[in-house]
Amino acid sequence: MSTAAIHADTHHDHHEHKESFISKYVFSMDHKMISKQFLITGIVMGMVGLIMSLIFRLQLAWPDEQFGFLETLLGKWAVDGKLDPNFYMGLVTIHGTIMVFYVLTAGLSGTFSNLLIPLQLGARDMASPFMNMLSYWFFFLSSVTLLSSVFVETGPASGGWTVYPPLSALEKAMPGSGLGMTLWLAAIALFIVSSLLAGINYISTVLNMRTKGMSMNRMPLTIWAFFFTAILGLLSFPVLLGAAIFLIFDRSFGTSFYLSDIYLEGVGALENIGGSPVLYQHLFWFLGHPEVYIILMPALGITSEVISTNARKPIFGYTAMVISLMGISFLSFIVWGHHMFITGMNPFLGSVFMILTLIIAVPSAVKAFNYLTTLWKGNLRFNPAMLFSIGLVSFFISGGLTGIYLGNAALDIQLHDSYFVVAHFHLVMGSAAIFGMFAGIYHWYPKMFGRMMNKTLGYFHFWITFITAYLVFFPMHFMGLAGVPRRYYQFTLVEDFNVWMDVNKLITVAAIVGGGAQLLFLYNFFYNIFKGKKAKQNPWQSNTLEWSTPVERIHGNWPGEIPTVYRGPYEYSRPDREEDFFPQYEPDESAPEVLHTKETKSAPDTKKVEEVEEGSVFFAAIKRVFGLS
Amino acid sequence: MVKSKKIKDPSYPVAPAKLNLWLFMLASSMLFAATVSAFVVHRPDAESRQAWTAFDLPIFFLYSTIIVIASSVTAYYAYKMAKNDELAHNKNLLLGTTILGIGFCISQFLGWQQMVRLDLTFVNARPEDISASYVWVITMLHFLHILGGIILLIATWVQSIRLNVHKKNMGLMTLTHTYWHFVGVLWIFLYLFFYFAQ
Repeated sequence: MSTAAIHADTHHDHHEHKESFISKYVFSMDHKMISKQFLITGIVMGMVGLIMSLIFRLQLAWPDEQFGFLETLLGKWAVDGKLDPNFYMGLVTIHGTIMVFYVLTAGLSGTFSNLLIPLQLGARDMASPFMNMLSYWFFFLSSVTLLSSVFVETGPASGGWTVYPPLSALEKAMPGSGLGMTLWLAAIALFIVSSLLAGINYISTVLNMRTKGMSMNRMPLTIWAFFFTAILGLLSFPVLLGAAIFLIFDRSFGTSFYLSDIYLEGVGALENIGGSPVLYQHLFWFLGHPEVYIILMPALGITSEVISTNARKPIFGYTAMVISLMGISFLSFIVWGHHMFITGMNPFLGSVFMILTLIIAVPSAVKAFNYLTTLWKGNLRFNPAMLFSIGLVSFFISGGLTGIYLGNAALDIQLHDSYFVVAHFHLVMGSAAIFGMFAGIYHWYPKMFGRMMNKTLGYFHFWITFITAYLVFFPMHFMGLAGVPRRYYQFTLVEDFNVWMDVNKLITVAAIVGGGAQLLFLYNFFYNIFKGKKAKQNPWQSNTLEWSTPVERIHGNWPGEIPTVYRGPYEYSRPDREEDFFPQYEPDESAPEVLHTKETKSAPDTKKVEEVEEGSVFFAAIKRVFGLS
Repeated sequence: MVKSKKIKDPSYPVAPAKLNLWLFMLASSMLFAATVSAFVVHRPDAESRQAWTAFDLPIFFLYSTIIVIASSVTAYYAYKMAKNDELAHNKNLLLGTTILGIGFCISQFLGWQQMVRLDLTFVNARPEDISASYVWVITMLHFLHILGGIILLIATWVQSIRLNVHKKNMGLMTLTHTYWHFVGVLWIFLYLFFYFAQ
């Protein structure tokens, strides 16, 4: 207790410091600035990942064409304008790595957890601003390391973003397994350090630093989502670190954790013996599966907030939303085997993983239905953030449904490593999560930069991106069902796949148009930082605490005392109110005094305990543990 | 700028640094859970290919265990003394814990030497020595954690010499105390695990 008080005091002294350029914009310890650093780095990485995908899409659509500009751009990787097969694999790998880790994990979670956790909970900053700063700079270093691997002579890592050994463990296996792979592993190790530092901070802040009256059951759903995301990251990234450590030792020190009986270039078995490559897959997917929820859940949280605000209705089933997030988080740890149905897994074990996987459909469906019921008969305001949120719901449903197919072991054995998988995850976690991120950017841009984004450009951005995303990913389902495998450099060599050339061209054209639409976004984003219309205090008439802070960024967030919270975050369109929103921080003048001075953390009163015992004790206990009663 | 003098923010239920440390320990436990599980999962697979040997742990690892238990006891008393404002005892006990920590490191080194003498090297010369590679990786990961603990102990000891560790300033002492118990318990778990698994 005493240390906490001391900490709070010393923290305050910092406010008197004058900020230099370096401490304000570079090595900033302010959570709002760190969030912008994460966002802008994420956007830059996202553009790199997008351009990479366009280049390999060109190859897939016109394999025999020569693109002169590719040679200008890539040099020896595209001699005579034709993409090199090894570099194609490298592009696919780095595209996946960038999008999964750098854009949708750090770019999404890093941005919005940093921005919103202190602002929506009523804290002056994160639990440890210094660790928060370190987290960004580890992420930055990691990004630079990964991008530099594209420029090494043997090319970047090219065994797919999952970097399965033995391909990734043996330098001789392919050019990309040389220095490029070493840099990939270094980048990921730095990334893990970054996300652990960040995750510790997020959890600690949510548990410990909520303002007066902000009990757990009054937290906005964004915070619940970031909280569970951080827990997933904290528990699963160390496992990836373990996997990476073994892989580094196998690659560079000659151990044999993953290697055994390998024949390379027709030469007899290598010295490595006794290892098990499937072990790597277990360790990797123990992270890998929670990772897809680390990507998706912040987007779901943002969507909850944006949909409720712009439908001017309380979110439908707040408690159900929280419990379904909790259910998804828990289940995500015990389903990793569904990525490994074809590793020779015991069929009984396969069935266990299959059933557990299919159970995830339940909390996911709860969320989808709650979004739809929140929208139902609301006073919908179709601003760009709302459109992107609705877009997320669309992708979440259309991509989620194919998850039910892929979760079935019997079907997965057929569909594994085909374009069906590509279609599935690009819709359900790629497009859905990026739409959540866009929704968040459009919604909280006024909070971040004090200015507004252009609405019309936002509409164009949404519609073009939405339509092209479906045009790109939907046809891939049919390719996958027909057996077209993923990660192939060129299909024209296989007679049967020639029928798909037109579809490949359609996908590539749609991808280029969709990529072009992102330029609208970039213009809208960067131009309006400087020239946008000045934002009002609460432009979306939202209930949550972040809109009570001044428009101009200040260190410590609130100039005076931190506001007290009086009610839940989603009290829109209350019949007894003139306005259709009722901010969390506004005391209720009409209500009797007792109501708004009620201490939420007081001991449970005995009357309530008796009521509980009459009802279902078990559920009441669970609810109390998580503060939902 | 905030006129901070006038505002009194409520203090937090738990000291942020303490909660952060607990979360770090949770993450770090997951790293060991992963590596130990890898050992457990790998073993039957390798055994079926006659690529696994069970071997007795070096005796020095047992000595390490005894040292780490002793150091936990001294760390506990150092904490207690600081709480009772007995600064001289606190200082000496912290020094004692640090010395025991260094003793633990030396004992680990001797243990590794013994493994090398038995040809149980990190890079397996024979296929069946993959089990030794695991022992090496896991004990070395633990060793890194111990090094962190020793740095914390020295930092606390220096603060103690400067009379900065007392009843009203227990922050760093609490962290060091908690972390040192964590690495100690972690080692005892790892030792017992390897003892019964081999």
